Amino acid sequence: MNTIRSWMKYLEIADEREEIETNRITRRAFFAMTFLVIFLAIYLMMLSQVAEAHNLDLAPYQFFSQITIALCVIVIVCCAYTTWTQAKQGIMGYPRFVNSEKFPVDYLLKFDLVFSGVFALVVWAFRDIAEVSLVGFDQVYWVGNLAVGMLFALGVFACVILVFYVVYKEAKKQQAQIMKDLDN
Amino acid sequence: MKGSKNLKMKAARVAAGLSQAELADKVGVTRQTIGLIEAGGYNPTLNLCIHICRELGVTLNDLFWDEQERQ
Repeated sequence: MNTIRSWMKYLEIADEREEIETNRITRRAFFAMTFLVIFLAIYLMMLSQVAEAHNLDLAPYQFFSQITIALCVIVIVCCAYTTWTQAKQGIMGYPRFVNSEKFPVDYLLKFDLVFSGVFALVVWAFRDIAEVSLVGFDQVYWVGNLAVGMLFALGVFACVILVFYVVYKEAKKQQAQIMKDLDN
Repeated sequence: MKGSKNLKMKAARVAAGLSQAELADKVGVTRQTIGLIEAGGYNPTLNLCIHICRELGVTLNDLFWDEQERQ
């Protein structure tokens, strides 16, 4: 126990500035890693789907393997953990939500529309790139790919609203609890 | 740089006969942090401000209150 305790001393962060800077850098890297893994997974998924759609002689899950699925699950669990732990402490991070007494539907709908639109374009672009790399430019289903992108975007649109609403409710509940404890 | 230089803190530290490293050691931070506070590159927490003031024998107003900025 003493050995572990003395070893942990070496791992302590030197002071508050280093802690703040380290947190900021780690946060940036966390977001970058999350988005890169998700983009990679989307591309691999599109590659598999396109290979199947063109009846190519490729194993359907050659690209989007169980390892990729495991990576996605890890990313989702880590994101859910950070979001939920913050909500449990009454933290929601975004200024529009923190001090808003009512769930800001208007703002969220605008944000969600843009986010889902970008997501549809990303899926469309990745699907086109995957198709070009497999069967060439002249056999790409441009419109079909856009439709698939929009379908994905619909799912994302619903998920974003649901996740924000649940997190907002929990954060508000915890904020009220903190104020109640302070009053007592 | 995040803010203006804190020359009052530097003067108080020199008047107390402490180097940046010595003050850092007394308040439990790195020398770079003290250097950055003096250079205006880091805004310390209130706890750290209080620690620094105690070590230098001055008040928070003496080191961290800027009358000109307030006006």
